[in-house]
Amino acid sequence: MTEGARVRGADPLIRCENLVRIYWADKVEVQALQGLDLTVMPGELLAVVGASGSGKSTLLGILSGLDVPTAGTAVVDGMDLLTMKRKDRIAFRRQTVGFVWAQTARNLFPYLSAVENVMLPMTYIGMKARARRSRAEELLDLFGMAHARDRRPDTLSGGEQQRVAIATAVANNPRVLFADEPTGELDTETGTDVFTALRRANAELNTTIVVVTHDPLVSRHTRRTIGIRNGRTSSEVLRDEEAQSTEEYAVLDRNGRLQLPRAFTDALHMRDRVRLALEDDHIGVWPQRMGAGGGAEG
Amino acid sequence: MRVNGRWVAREARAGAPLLACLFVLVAVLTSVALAGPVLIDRLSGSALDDRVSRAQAQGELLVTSAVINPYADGGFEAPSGSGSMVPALHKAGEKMRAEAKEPLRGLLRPGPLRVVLPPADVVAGMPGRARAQLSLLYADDAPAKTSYAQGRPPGPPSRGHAVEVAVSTAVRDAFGLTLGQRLTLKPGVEVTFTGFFRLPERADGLPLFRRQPGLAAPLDERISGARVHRALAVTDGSGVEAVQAVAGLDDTLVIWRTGLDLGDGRHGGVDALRGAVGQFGRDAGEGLCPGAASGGRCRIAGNAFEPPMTADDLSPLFAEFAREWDRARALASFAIAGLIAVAFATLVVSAQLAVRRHEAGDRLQRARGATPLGVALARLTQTAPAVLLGAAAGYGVTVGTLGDDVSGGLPLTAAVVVLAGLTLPALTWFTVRERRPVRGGRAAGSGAAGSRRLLAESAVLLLAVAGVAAIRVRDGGASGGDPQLAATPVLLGLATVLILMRLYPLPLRWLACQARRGTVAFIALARVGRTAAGRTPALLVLVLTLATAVFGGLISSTATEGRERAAAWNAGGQAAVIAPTAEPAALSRTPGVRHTVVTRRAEISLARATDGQVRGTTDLIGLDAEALRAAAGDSPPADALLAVERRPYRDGPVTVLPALAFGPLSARLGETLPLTETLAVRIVGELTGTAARDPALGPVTGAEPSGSMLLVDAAAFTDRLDVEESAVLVYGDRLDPVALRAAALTGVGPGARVRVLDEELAALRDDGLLRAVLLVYAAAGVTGVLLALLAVVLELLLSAGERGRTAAYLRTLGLGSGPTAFVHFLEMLPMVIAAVAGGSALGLLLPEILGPALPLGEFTGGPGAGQSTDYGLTVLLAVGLAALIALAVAVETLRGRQRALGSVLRVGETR
Repeated sequence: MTEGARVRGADPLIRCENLVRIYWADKVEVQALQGLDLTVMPGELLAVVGASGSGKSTLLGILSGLDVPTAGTAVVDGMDLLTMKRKDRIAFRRQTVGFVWAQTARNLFPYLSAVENVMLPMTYIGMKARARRSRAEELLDLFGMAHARDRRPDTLSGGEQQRVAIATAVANNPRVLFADEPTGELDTETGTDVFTALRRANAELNTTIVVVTHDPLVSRHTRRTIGIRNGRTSSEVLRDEEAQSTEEYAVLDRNGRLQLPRAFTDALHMRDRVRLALEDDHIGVWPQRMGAGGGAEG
Repeated sequence: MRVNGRWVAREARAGAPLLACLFVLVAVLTSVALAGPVLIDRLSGSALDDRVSRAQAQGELLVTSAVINPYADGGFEAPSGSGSMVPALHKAGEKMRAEAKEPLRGLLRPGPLRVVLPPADVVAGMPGRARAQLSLLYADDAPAKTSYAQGRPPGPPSRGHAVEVAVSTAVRDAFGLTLGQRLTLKPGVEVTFTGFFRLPERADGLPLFRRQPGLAAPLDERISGARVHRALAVTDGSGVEAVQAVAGLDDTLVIWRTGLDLGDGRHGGVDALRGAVGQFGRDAGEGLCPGAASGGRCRIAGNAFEPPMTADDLSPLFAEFAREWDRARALASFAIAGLIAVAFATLVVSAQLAVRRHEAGDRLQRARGATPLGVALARLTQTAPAVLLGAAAGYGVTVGTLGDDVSGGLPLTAAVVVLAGLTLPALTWFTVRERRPVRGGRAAGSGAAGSRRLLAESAVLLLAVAGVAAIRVRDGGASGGDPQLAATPVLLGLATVLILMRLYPLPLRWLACQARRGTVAFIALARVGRTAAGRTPALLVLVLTLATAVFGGLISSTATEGRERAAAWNAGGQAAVIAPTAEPAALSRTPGVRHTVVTRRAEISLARATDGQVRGTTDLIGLDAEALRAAAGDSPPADALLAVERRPYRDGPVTVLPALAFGPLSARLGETLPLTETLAVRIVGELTGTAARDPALGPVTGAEPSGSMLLVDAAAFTDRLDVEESAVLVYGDRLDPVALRAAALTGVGPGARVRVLDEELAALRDDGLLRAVLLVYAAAGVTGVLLALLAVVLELLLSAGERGRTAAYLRTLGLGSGPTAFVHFLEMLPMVIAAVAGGSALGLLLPEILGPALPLGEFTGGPGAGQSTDYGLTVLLAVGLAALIALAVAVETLRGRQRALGSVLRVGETR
């Protein structure tokens, strides 16, 4: 857990079990998720990485309530996304989740100023005008955008727009903020500013942050990075900032399946089948032709 | 749910052009819905006024007449010859008109008063031995001084002197009269001729001479076996009194003619007029003789009046007009309904564009937690001012143009404005509505969407079929202001568009597969084959606009042909002289006449000959077939008659007339049907419908062809047949109507009617009814074309982004700007072709589809008037619309070329 994060009970905030999503695109079946397991505790700052087509955006769509899985379980803040009613879905979007998209222009209304954009979501939950303005200014100040509160988005830089977008996304104090490649259109320095804003949201507001990203800068600075490959969680990287250590793990699902890193399997020419051997404190995995002792079979 | 007005207003400012478009469309919709019914009623008033005026050119249509007898009763003043009678009669006429019910009362105008004394034998002073009778006539519209060839009009008689009279030069010549000559009339009235007047050129068309033919020329009549020449002479009002004072003639006829002046058409409509006219006779009687119905005596100016009678020729005119106008109003309403549908469809296209422009912001609002209804309400708040201002502008323009009597259209207008105002919010709601996420994959989703589309299309097609069937089977067909009829253009247009949307992408996809070489065709056809469904509203606009224009052209061409048929039917040849005694010899020497053809009609009864199976009378028509063929060339009745043995023959004591039968009698081919003991008719052949409706038979037949007719040679008409009507058809290159009329007057008699083909055609062309319908279609057509252009421009703007990206991408690949522009043109071409084909087909098929609901021949006149299609006009309309669209595409393409590539291709931008 990051410093300052409060655990709201021991239950995970996000729980996905054996999540499957299959859809059709031009008569071709696409298995976007193939039994993905994921658990996110409250207050986490989590990065989700993976190659294009690995299923990251599909996962985000499901967790945000925009899509429904083909099979499996997806629960966010105790709400089962498969059985949620229409009214619940609206409340879910207003107060449980927040969004930031990659395209900076897509996150804000061009005809509203920065503070008005932040105030807009609060109108949907009936907050009084004075309270809305006060909170909006507070959020902009938190993310270093107080100076630009009366400016329109087209007068802000990309990074500034994304920071205002983050403020907008957390306006109603959601439990979790989903960010889909928030630094995708930005340069390194600007991307750093945006990520700093996300960290501040996590630290100051106790908002759980799930960031889908290709940016190694982002993944390097999160405590936990989930790797998705072929529609399943394949790896986790846990970082301890204090100890300056990083541990990378392959994810073992409840059925005992894990995905071996491609670099490993390519290096040892492992294909189709491997041999396993139970040792005292580990399980050995050998290519098909190598013996249990590691030597080649005669 | 809250809507922040300030933020909504700011968003509105950003979308000002679309709001302006909405303002214009709502203004147009309001004007059309409000003005349509009023304009149609105004046109009806104008058409009725026109119809009444033309009928009244032949003479006033309300004629009240009363027989008066002078009296000398104890205590009552005897007629004195003081000149008070005519003014008293005029006053009586005013009283009659004042008794008329509204709205008739304010519309009546006095016509000429006439007082006709009974004919009196000329007992002395008449040259020659022929027996003559002279009837004296006072008429307000007697020939004026300037018409006199000799002498002057008659004045009041001096005491003890003869009564002054005047006659026409034809009467003068026939009776051998001279100026100042005196005649003695029985019983002892002396008249002196003070003048002789010339007949005007179209005397047969003037009411005075047509109603009193003896005024133009003497009539030859047989009275008690003796031949009598009877003529009329005009005299002064005092002259009539003087004659009564001397002779005490009974049964003098007083005729009040009353005309109708419909003015500006604000009379409450033909139905209100019919009611008032229907009881005018009773009202006039009450006005002339109050209390006469309860036995009171009626005396005016020394004369006792018998209860008056009113001949009402207005009521049949109104009845016929009402029937024709009902059909015409249905046609006009159809055009208005079509125009409203076009305007609505254009509104939907503009709404689609607005939704597209706002889609990103609307989806962001939804993502932030707004409800679909909240987003829609915000859009309603944004567009309401434009809608209300547009409605106010439309209302203001309409009231300013047409006046305040537009209240009848308010309910429809309110409904139209509400629908128009809700269109964009509804479309917004539909776009951002909470869609239930589909489980089971996209296949299930797309399958469900496809099923819904099929269901919706099937429902529309079913509604269209049901709506048309309901109108077709209804008694009396469609009538004006019919909601079912008003919905028909929308349903038919939608049905056509839905069929087109399914059909036209198919060949495009095939062509795209075949277009292996070349980028332009492949890309254009591939794109348009997949994006057809989104263009439904624009296609609906184009299809309905063209269908309305083509249908209007069809009405025009059908009416034109109908009029030509009607004129030809009325005139027979280039002219016709119609009278029971008409003979060719009297007319063949007239300058300009090359051929004459005689036709005759008698009415015979075949009840006895057929044992009662043939009831009523049958027309027996005689035709000089050889003369007709020589005059007119190909003539179906002449050809038919010349193909059979047509000469009468004797069968014992019976003269048998060979005849061609038309109608039920054609089933009796070969039968000989006795008419009298010495006359029979034998059916030797069948006359086709075409031959029966030949114009040569029109003048003797009447307004409509006979349903049952026997055609014989004209020479077969003998003295044994009572001729009901005869007509001499006249043919010639340089026919002189004036000379013909003069020859008819002298050769045939003053009762002869002359019809000239050119004059008949001119009179029919002036008919206000059809002019009104065509005006509505022309206005609807022009407005529809403007709306269609707007719809095309909006459609182009809708797809401008995608086309711009495609163009920019193609240009980065190295395709030149010319071929790239051609891609745009090729993309629009299939829609244009589909619209032109669909719109033309729908317009041409509308009469077949609607059938008896909208009969076109109803008011175009003419026997056998069928649909006539002007294909040239149809092609012109279709090509014109296509050209306008091509121009719009060209302009937009040129604008598109000015956009920089970089501004169009934005990496990473998603919709």
